[in-house]
Order: sequence, then C-alpha cells, then structure tokens
Amino acid sequence: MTGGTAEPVLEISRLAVSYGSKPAVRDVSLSIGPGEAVAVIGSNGAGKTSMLRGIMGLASVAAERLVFAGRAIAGLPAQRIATLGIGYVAEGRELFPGLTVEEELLIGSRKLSRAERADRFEEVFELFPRLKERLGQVTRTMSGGEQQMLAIARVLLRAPKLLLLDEPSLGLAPIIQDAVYGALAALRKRGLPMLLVEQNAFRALNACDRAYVLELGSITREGASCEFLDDPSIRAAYLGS
Amino acid sequence: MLLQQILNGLLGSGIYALYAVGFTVIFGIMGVLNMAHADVGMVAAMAVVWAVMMGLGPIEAMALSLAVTALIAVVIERCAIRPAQRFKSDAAIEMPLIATIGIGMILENLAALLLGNRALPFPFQRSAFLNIGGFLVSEGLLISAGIAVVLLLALELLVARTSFGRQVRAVAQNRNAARIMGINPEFMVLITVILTSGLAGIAGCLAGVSYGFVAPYMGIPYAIKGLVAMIVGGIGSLRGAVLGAILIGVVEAVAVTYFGSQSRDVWVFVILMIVLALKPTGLVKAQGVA
Repeated sequence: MTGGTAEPVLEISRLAVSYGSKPAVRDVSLSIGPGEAVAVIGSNGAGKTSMLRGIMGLASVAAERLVFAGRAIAGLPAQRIATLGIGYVAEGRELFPGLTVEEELLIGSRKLSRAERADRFEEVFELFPRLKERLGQVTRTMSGGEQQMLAIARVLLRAPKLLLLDEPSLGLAPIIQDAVYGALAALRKRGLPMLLVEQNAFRALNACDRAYVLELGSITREGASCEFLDDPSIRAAYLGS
Repeated sequence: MLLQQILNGLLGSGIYALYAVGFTVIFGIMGVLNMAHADVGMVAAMAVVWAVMMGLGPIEAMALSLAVTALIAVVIERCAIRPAQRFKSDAAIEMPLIATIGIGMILENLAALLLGNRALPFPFQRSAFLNIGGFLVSEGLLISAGIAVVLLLALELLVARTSFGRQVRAVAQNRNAARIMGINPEFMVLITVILTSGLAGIAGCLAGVSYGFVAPYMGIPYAIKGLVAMIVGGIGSLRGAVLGAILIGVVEAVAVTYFGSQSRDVWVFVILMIVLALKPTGLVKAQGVA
C-alpha cells in the first residue's frame, strides 16, 4: 500500500480506535511514503477524525502496526508523538483562546534558538502573510480562516516530519479555503508528507497524490487521487455528481 | 488613624496575596481547589521551628522547609489532583477538593502530634515597630510585604513573559491543544503545584516573621482569606488575586479599628457578598491563568 519503494513515513495496519467501549474506527490500514500527500475521504461519522486522534495518541488504539519514522507509536502520549515529529492540525483548530498570535507561534517554536526562530517565522509569514499583521491579536477574536492559518503555522514551526490535517476547509469561505489549500500545495512541493482528512473530497483529492475511502470505520478503497476524481461511484458518493 | 490602619492593612495583605495567587493559579490551570494549600504554609513554618529546635542554622532551616514543602506538593499532585484528571464529570472537581481537605487535616494533625497543639514562637520573628514618616510600621509586616511584592512581580513576569508561563497558560486554556504542541500537561501541573506550594511555604514563614508565632491550625484562616481574595479578584487572575488580597487586608485592618477585632472576619465576607452580587466573575476577568 505504500506510495513508493522508500521506507514509509507512517505505516498503519489494522488500526482500531475506541472511546471507552464504543468503537469509532474498526480497521484502517494505510501508509504514507516520503514526500507523499495522502487523503482520506468519507462521509460524516465515518471515523476520519477518530482515526487521526488515534494516530496522535488522543484516543485509545489497538493496532497490528502503527509505526512513524521507524518507531512504534501506539500507546504513546500525544505530547510524545508530537515531539517525535507529527504535526497535527485538529478539527476546530484547537488553539489557545486567550493567547495572542505571537504567543501561539512562540509555543510552536519554543525549542528553537532565537536565530532559527526568526527564520522559521519568516517562512510561515511567507505562507500566511496575514499572521504577521495579527501578531498582537488574541486568537479568539480572529476569523475562522485566520485561526486555521495560525493552527497550521504554529505546527509548521515545529518542523514536523509528517502533517496530519483534519478538515482544514471546514467552515471557511471559498476564498479562505483557496488560501489554506494554496499553502498546503506549497508544503507539498517542499516534500512535507501529509495525511489530509476532508469532507470536501474534491479539494482533498486535488491536493493529494493518493487517497483512501473510509466507510463506517474501515478503509474500503485505495487509489490514485486522479483515478478517484474520474471514478463514477466516487463522484456520485463524495463529489456530488 | 485611618491612614495608619490602611497602611497596616496594605502591609498585611502581602501574605494573603501569596496564598491567593497559589489558589488562583491551581484553580486556573486545573479547575480544582487545593484546600491543603494554606496548610503547606503551616508545615513550612513549623519545619523551620523544628529545624531550629534541632540546632540547624537559618539557611539549613529554610532549605529543609523548602524541601518539605516541595515533597508535600508532589504528594498533593500525585495523590489528590492527578488521579481525578481521568474523570470528565464533576468528580474531577469534587475528588481533589475532598482529597486536599483530607491532606490538609492530616498535615494539621501531624504537626500537632509532632510539635504539640499550641502556638510556637517563630525563631526569626521581627516584632519591632519602626517610625516611618510619622507612621508606626511593624518591621515583620514590612519585610513580609517587601518579599511578597518581589515574589508576586517575579510570578507575574514568569507567567506573562516566559516560555514556562506561556506553557502554563496554554495548559490552562486547552489541555489537548497543549499536548499536540508537545507540552506535557501533567508535568506542567506538577511544577506549578510545587511552585505555588513554595509561595505558600514562604507565606507561612512570613506569617511567623510578622506575627511571632506559628501553630498547627494557622492555615485555616489563611485558606479562607486566600480563597475569598481569589474569588473577589476573579478566579484565574493573578492581578485580581492580589487586588482581592489588598482589599481584604485593608478592610480587615480598618474594621478592627472601628468595629473591634471580633468583626474582622465578618467584613471579609461582607466584601465577598458585595462583589459576588455586583460582579459575580470578580474584579478582574481572566481566562485560564493570566
């Protein structure tokens, strides 16, 4: 299932995620190769968010194999997984509502030297120029689009080896979605591997190399994004045509 | 006369403020009341008394006191606060509340058992009065207020300007988001409980310096006034806690003069009720810890 012959960045085999006794994900197997962008599409309630939360250590998991960068991560706490190099942009953004934009970015870059931090700040400001104008603004007063940009930016400052994105276009105006997906395209060009979960399947498939379909907690299909875009059954189920 | 009492109240409020900021930081970050907080101050003061009785010098006594304080802080965090964090219901608030009341009672009774249920003279008390600009100022209270101001300013800087402070505020505002940013909330809480317990320990010792005596049950009135100061000031706000402590200290001192010492605590609760009626969120609004 890997996208290439190189060692996968993330390899998952028979992942199950549950909240107490309630199973949310039953059987997910997927892999992401170096530099690869992979989408997971599925209807509401299919288990997409739970799958990401499970990978990130925010929900209890059982898996035959859950390996990131050659290391088993099942059962590790989320902060440890983040430290290993997975950047997670959660649904709903999960910002710190009382902190300013600058403080959020400083939290993302707290392990960097002053010089490294300045360079990284410039890099994220190139992707999201609006954040530079909002440094002193408290995050809860920002628009949804600005919050999404900040959520991505603060994770990028940690120089992740893999980016997990949960519904980055949710609730955003089309023009803001374009800006967010423009930034994701730039990151993809730089070779940052990403796993993108989206209800907006059209955007997700256009942004990624490969895709999986998640239905009722299980992966049911896998293929190249371009094939999915032309597939009548996928178009009927997820692309509205 | 009135100015003299206001000055006394201001100086006395330093100790209240040290307790109040501890309550507010722990509540702000964890959403729980650490009811053993003021008893930690008592233990720190009693540890100094015991150490001096054992022949230790001032530096060794202070070091021992701080070590005991840190140890108790770890016990409180591990036994009373952390276990409740896995609950999402009201138990997450109620369990530590009851557990810390229990730890406080254990500390009080242990102190009474080991050193006697009586007031003991504090070895580093400062009972002299200074004449400053026509006002009579207690040397002990002046020292206490000075140390409290320095510590509170340092705490404000720590929380507002440092990476540690940002991480504490982050944990207070969104624990899951903190985790995905690589912050270990449990570790931050542990460090914060140790830090605030250290402040309580210093406050307990400053009470000994100012008033000359320490006792196993001395923590109870400080706990009540620290809590009232926290609520009056606005839960989670450091500046609010200090403001609440100053208000209580000054009103107490003035009330003693005009209505007698019996009315002292009554006025503290009168302030609480007035503030709750007019501004239920307290004088200063804060989100998490600020």
